[in-house]
Amino acid sequence: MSDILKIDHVTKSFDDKVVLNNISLTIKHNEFVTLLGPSGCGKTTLLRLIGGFETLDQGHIYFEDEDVLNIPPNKRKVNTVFQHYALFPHLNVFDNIAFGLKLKKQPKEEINKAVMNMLMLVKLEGYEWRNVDTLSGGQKQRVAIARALVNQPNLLLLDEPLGALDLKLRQDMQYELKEMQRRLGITFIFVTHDQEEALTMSDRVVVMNEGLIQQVGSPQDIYNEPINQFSASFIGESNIIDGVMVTDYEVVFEGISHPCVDHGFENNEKVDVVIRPEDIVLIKPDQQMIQGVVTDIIFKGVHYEICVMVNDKEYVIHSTRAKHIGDKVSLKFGPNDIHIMRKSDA
Amino acid sequence: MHRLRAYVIPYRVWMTTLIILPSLMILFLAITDFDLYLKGPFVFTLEGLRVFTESTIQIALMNSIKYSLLTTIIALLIGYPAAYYLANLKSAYKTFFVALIIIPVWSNMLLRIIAWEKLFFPISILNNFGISLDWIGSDKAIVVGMLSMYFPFMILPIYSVLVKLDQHLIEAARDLGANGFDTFVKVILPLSLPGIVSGVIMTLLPAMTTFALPERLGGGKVLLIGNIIEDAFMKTGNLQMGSIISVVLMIIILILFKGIMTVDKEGETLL
Amino acid sequence: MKQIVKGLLLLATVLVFVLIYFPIVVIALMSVNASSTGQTFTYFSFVWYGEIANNTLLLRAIGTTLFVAIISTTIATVVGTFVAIGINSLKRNQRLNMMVLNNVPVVNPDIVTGISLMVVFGLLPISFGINTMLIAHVFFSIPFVVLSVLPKLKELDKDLFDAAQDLGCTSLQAVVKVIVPAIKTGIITGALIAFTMSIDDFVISYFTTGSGVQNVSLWIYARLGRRNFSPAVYAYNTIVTVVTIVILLRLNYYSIKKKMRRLNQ
Repeated sequence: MSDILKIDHVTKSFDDKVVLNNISLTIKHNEFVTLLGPSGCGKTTLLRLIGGFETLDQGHIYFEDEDVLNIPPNKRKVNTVFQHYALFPHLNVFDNIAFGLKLKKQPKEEINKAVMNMLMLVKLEGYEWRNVDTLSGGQKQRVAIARALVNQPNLLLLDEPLGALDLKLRQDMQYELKEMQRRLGITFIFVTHDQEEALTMSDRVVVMNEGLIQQVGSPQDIYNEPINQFSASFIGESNIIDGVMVTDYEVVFEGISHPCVDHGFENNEKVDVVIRPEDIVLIKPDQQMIQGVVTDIIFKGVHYEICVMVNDKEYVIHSTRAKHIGDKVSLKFGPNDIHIMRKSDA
Repeated sequence: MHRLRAYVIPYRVWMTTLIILPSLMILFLAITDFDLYLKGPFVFTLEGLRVFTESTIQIALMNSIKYSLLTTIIALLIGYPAAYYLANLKSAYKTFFVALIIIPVWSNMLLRIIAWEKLFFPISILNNFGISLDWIGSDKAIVVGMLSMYFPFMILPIYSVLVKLDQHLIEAARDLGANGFDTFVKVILPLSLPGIVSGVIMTLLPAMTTFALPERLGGGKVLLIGNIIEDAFMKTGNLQMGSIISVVLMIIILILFKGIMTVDKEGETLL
Repeated sequence: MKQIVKGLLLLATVLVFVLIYFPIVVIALMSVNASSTGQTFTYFSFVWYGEIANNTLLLRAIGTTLFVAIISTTIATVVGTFVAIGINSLKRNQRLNMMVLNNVPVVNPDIVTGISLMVVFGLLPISFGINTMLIAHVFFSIPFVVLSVLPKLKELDKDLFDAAQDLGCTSLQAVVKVIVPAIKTGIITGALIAFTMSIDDFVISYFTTGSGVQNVSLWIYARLGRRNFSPAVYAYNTIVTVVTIVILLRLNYYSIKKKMRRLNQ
């Protein structure tokens, strides 16, 4: 697989506020890449730079090995699905989708065929003459996707396209989008602040914060091996505990020494210890293990979310078995469940 | 909320009384010889329709159409780009510039007409700059005067639509391959149609019906239907003739009003 | 290419400003021109500004203009606000019907509004004068207040009125204490528009006032091309224009300052 897009040391500021700080990133053909981060982290700005809607201050963006600095959005082989869809209110569904093809002055029959194909792909057959104002959120979303895809872009940019949909619809669309991308073989760059969305859909996740890329990796890597405290706390719920790496494969926290699989730290280096809530099992109190008291329990449908107080620190544990508030328990986890991160400020 | 609906009832009565009643009354005056002030007996008569054979009336009708159309077309061709420029201005003083468009409207219109009149005589303060115009009574004088009076009515509705235009729609058009010209023709122009319709009507109607402007800038030579109506109601007391012309005018207004209401149901572009 | 388009847009804008401000400048020039006919510029003088105070009929006309503007604006603002609140609570179809009725005087040329009111007043047993002028001004002002208040009402939370009542307000209290403060800017804009429309009105006043009473416009129209036309009215008009510009500048200054503060935070 070759590279479709190369972002090379890109910096962008608005009114003295640096939104993107020396960002570099390469994206391969047919990849589904997600830019993930809280609002204001620069992910949308990066997308708009790729689409050609903003100009960068420093650096280069290469699309299929060509520097696109002076290429306007209408000349780029990139299409965008906008956050609030940006459907043309004066055009019906058909004319919205046909917009790009009509500009290319394609023959009428070809346009008809292409639009109908797209409507089938996004499951909106029979809606072609509808006014876009009469569509539901999910339908508008599909029209926006069809309007972009009909131009057969090599790269599709999606700016939080599922944000306005309700949970059930969002999950359906996540699946459908992934399917579409696989079938069409188009590179997708998807912007979201929803970590679950990022993890379910992507081949690769780019975690961003405050204009910097924090971590790039497969969803599994990002989830299991967060590189710093930001990644860990942003991706999923985590227990982050202060600890000391006494030596390779041994970490001390809550006053107890634990075997682990991490190495390569200095002896007695202070570290952050990450343990996922679902990796902890609650057992009867045991002197050899961390002990605590159940302070809260909430039923979450699939599992219980149980809070356990240990030495003034609250641990979150996901368990399918209920406990009672006030129960004394111990926390059990294996060496593989412990993830060690360097302190972010060090 | 539904209890608040009661507030509307007196207003509905008041507006109906002051709009529908006089319209019917004017129609009635047009087809009878009823005297509004003496309120004596009356008979129905279509005698009054003969005014349409009078050349003064025919010329006034033609003049009204000619000058109002000419003014509206020029005002649109120059006003649209100006509204577009103002709407896309990236400056903290944007609202100030827009306010500058409104300020002249708040200056007395009669005085503004007099100001043009003074300049259009051969002897005027323009002589100090080596210019001498002899425009009174010419088409130029009337159209320039009208443009000066009605530009704001064309520009403000168009501006208010353009400034609210979702910038993402423009980006979407560019994204789909439209160049600047295509984006304007296929997206911006159709979406600003409500503003254009409002602007055209708000320019066309006053231009068609003004009587002070042609009276001064026309030098008494140019009559519009406004002058005929003014004469009939305020000077000669020929209410039947005035009413007949008014009915013609009201039919035109009805058609234009229908136009405005189809593109802008709640009158959002009228302010 | 882009530069040419930009240049043309700027050209159109400049042309508009020149055409609409030319008469304003000429009026200002006339107000400091010692000549009483204003046909040529004789010499610079503030004599007409002083003359305002000496011209009894003009002073009376200014008084009438302000009196009618203040009374009609007050009535129109209060009534228009309540009407807008009522219209906003209607179902869509009824609301659209009311807006058609409301917009008739806005779209209608002044001359049609003028003769319509004249005909109605002629039927009623009232004499033409300041009363009829006042009713006419209230009539054409209310729709503008409604038009400027309504958009603010639409932005409001639909449950605001119910919430106020839930917390113990009567229906009227809920309107006065909760809704009115929330739509304050729309009401002020509406009042400003009503006031300026009233101050500048000529045509509607002309048809609805009769011969006894004159506002500034009627004073001017009665003297057009006559010897008793006094350039003091140029001075009056220039003062009005300057005052409106100053008010707008101040309002704009505050909104810019507010914007700056928001940016800094």
